[in-house]
Amino acid sequence: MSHCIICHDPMFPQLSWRDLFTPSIPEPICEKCASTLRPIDHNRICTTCSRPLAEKSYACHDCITWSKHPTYSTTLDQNRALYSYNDSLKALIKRFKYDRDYAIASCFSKKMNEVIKIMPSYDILTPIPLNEQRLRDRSFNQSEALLIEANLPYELLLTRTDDTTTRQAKKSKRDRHTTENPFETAHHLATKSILLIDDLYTTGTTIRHAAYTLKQAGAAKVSSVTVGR
Amino acid sequence: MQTVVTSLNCPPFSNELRTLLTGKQLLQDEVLTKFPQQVIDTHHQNGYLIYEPSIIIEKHTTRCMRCHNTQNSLFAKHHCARCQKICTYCRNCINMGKASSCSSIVKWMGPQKPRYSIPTQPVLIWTGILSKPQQHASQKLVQAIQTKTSTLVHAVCGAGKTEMLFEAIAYALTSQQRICIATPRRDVVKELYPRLQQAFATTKIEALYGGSDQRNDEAQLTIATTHQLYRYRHAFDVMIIDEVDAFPFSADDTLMQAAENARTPDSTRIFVTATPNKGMMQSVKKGELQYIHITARYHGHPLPEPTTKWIGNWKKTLDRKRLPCSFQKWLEPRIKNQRPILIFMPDIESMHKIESILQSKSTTTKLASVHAQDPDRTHKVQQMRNSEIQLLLTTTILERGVTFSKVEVAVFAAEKTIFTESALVQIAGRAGRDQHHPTGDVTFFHFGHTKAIIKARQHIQRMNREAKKGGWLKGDNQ
Repeated sequence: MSHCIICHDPMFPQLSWRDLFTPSIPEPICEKCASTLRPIDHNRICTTCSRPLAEKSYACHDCITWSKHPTYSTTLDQNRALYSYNDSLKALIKRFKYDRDYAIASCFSKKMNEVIKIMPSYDILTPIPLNEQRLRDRSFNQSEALLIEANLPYELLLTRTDDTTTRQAKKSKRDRHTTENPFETAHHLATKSILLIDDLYTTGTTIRHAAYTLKQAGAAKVSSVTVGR
Repeated sequence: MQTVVTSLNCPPFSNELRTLLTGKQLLQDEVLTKFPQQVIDTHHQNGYLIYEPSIIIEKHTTRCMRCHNTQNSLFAKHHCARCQKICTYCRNCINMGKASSCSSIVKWMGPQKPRYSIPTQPVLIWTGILSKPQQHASQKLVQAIQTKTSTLVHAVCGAGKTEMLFEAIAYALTSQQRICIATPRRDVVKELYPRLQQAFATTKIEALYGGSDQRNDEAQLTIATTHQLYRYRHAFDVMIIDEVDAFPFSADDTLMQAAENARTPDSTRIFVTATPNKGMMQSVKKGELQYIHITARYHGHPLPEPTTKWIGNWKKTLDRKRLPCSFQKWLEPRIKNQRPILIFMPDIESMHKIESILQSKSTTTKLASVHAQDPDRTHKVQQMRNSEIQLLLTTTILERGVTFSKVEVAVFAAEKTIFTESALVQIAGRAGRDQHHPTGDVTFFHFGHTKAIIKARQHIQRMNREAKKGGWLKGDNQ
């Protein structure tokens, strides 16, 4: 008998005749927990950042602002997200990152694989890194954990050297827009296309900073997939 | 166990660190939020504190040494960036900090803290008058602490349990004992704290629950949710557990273990509840627990006895956007007469259905619904208390601990398994708690009687009968 990764309740999978021949992969979370998450409908989003909208649109208000940015205007090709950011996802990400409950990463594995399949072809998958101090405090990098649990091969291309005093989540929108790019890379990525993985797309600053660094190193195209938008 | 080192020829130690660690089993990470690594290291070198592993991996079982979880599905592992190895961690108590293979439990081994000084007189400032049954229980509880006898207080809803405990707490405080009042419900902690701080104004008291800001390591009296007890070891001389049969305490063995672990071996245990479970009553029969039974409310009026009404296949009725006939008949005059109404629902889905039906029927009635994950829960309950809301729909989360004056209570779909005997008894206990309005209607609307419904009614009738026999009801004396 398996247990739901989120609420720990026992789960009884519905068996069908098909399972006799091709055993199905058990769901990591129960139906009740799954129903609290809102999967993003990829036909009704901003096609740049994946923000859920009433209808498909080329760029939302924020993305138009980004497109006028002197340095970061064309860094990110597109972002896709698994779920829209609601209270349940917020609580789940809090448990994952701040309570450091690593096992939560596997809740997203199936959906992560599905969304990566609909992305344009890429050469390398890479997670957004943490700086050394934060990595030691947290004991794992949540973006890397998402990739490991989803069984996806990846390379660590980026390093991060920002200050550790304030978490990104504690910063205001303005602070985030004006912070310096904390990412560096020692790789040469001539004409490679890269797919970045992160837990959340909030203002898009982190992703664009990372994308900028990758492009400086020669990358042809940078897209991203995040759990929440 | 702990050795007492005499102060001469010994390196100095931090008194605050000792206060923090006395009676506790904190994770290294938790200590690090208050003291720098260097301070912890020097105390460790001087032998004042020791590290113990928080996770023990044996041949077939893994054990969390903090919450005593041994269920394999509640452990997980990952590559750890701190120790560069695969670390196992406990998922059962992770909301209290992460106990993992590379994080230790820190325990104080240095000179023991001196005993608590007796709080300044008067220890107990409370001018209320106890009812006869309360007085009886109060005396028994003082004796229980004197003789260290474990006791079960079985008192009906609205008996005035907190006031019964006052004398006993005062006695324990003056005899320099450390006391804990634990309860599975954080609402109860929040409600008890100001009441106890007022009654025991000269005592240092702390209230512990997730997100509490009333922590005080020097407190002699601790009010805490049962989860907080994972952090304690051999700390309390008196362990009072309120609502001992409530969720999640009753359903989670690790919480029971935590409560056992948090008290000193020769401490006094006091369990308080209106609906003791079978296990508790068996302990009473075996003579392991002293039994105090209070069958009358503090105001001396009998408990409102619930009536039952058939509502048929209510699911179908709701899907047709209608209310069951008998339910509507019950509801309408009460809405008209402006009585506050509390309706218990079996699940959130049907609660929202009824809510929208009621809203479409009457736009003037102020109503709201609450459930466990509702972020506005506290606010809505307060609005109901202030009569800003007339009708409150709720899941079983409000079955205990809430008092609304003059309230009328209905249980919708009382046949559902979530409404156990004890849940129904607790729910019925919401009505008639105010001494100026000691009556109130309680109706169970059902689609077929269940054992729980019948037993709950019998339970309440029995309590009233016994209270009458004991001469504790008001009408008997006059």
